[in-house]
Amino acid sequence: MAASEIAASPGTFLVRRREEWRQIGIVAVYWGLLGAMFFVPAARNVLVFAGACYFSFLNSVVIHNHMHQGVFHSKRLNLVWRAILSFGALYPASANIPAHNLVHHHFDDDGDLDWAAPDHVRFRWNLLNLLHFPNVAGPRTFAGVQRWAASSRHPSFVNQYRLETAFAFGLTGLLFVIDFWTALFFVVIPQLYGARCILRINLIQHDGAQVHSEWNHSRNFVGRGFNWIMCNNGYHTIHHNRAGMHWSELAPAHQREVVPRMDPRLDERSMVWYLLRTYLLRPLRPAIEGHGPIPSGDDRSLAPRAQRRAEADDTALAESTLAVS
Amino acid sequence: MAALALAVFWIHVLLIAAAAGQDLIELARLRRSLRPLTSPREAWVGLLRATVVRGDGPAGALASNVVEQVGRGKGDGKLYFSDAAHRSELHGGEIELADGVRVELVATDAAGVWPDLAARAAAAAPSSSAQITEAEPQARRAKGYPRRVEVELVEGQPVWIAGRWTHADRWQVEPGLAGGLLISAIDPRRWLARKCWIIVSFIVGEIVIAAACTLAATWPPLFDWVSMLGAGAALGFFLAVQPVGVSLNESVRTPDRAYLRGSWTRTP
Repeated sequence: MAASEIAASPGTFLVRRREEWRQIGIVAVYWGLLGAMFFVPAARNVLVFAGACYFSFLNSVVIHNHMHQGVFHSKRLNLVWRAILSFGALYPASANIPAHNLVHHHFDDDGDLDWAAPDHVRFRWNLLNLLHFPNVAGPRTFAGVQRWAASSRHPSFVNQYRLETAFAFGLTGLLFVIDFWTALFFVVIPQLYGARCILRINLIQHDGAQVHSEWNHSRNFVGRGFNWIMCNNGYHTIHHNRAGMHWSELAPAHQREVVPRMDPRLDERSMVWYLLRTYLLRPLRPAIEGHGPIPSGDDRSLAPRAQRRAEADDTALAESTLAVS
Repeated sequence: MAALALAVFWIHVLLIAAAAGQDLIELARLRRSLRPLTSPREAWVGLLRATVVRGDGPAGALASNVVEQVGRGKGDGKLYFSDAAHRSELHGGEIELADGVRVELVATDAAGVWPDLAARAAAAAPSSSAQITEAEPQARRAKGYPRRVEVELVEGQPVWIAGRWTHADRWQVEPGLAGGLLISAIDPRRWLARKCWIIVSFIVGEIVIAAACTLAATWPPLFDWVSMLGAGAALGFFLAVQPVGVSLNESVRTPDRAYLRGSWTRTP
């Protein structure tokens, strides 16, 4: 989908698609949980804390979706929404443009490793890889974003990035000033949990898969309930292959395009069972297995990888500026 | 909650130390395999100092280390480079050992070529402002400005060479290390020793600082000023030690695949 094709659906108030209210609801619940814990001592309990951590992760999922296709009709509102999301994850949401849209979606096609490639961790005890992954993927991502920003011709990236950083850290700093310990335990820890979990997803979705294959580069989690709350982020193969496709359309597209072509072992019904099986019940990191023949480049169901990448790049960058309508 | 936070803090401190430990083990293992020899011995794996007397590669190079880079810029006189690939090429040729023995080297892909990193940085520098001006239009495009930074080991240059030494009618060196054959413009054992000490210092320093933060955070009375400063320091340290750990990991990559990156700035 080209930048100019990001069209508003007629008849939806405020948002481009009515499904976006689910994402807004997720973020509202998250802010509600953080606010409750910060202002109401009775809410500082394990249940609310665990809920805040989980919704912090979902907030990062919303960042991911929003950076592919903005939630609102108004571009200005989309940029404001980024700042709100940035506070929830304690990192500037715009970092996703270079880190996710422009680098992760390319895998290592550009020569160097993806900043969040599974190869960055190499413990034999696989659970340690899952725990440690954000410690290496996070700094690589932010260093990479700085390098990208230095040479980017994108007109407003740096200003927007700074604005989001100032809002996220400014508001968190203010909470520290008001009540240090409550801010640390009941705001910052959930924020960091979500931001670090979204990094871990890169490992979960790609470790052991074949990034040079068109259909076996990603692991999918296809449970219906999981994908409802995760806004279809379980369908990762089709997301990579059609980065411009709205998240609400991924489930049928996965069935139609991916399932007939992929290695079925890369479809997992439950992420919880996969995590238990891969990181707890089996201590050693699974060896990289073959996932069937890699389909040849003349698969007519997909445009060439470079063309798809270029279109997705244009879309991501167009979402980031007020200048493109 | 404080105990949970401290437990998470320490798990990650130790994971970062353990990841540095993995680098340490790899470098120490490589150093051990580079057993210094005074002269070649049949079937021994070890390191010898030599001088290049002939190179069969382009411009008489015995071997070369190549970094493929892509430069990007926005037309403001600055180009930023990212590394796309690191390659070592042994073209073949002849070296002379300190005792005058000559050794024939056969071209192979199974060789690591360690350049002098200062020489590589010099090779990567722009020859003039005009070169930057010429590169800028390409660097502004999506594909960027591709270039190849090559450092060659040439005739007359002192080198260190490690592998399996064999003698038939004359001495030869074959791939015998885990990475094959090593040809280096710098003393690899000294380089490895220095990097190992840096890693050890990092691990010790990291744990000491984390312990100091923990001590302050748990200083009685709990949740008072000292405790608060300790917790703040622990949070800051937790966020800061991760990029430091990654920088360390990148800085101990062996010279044949060390990141070059860098930038060009046009002077008016």
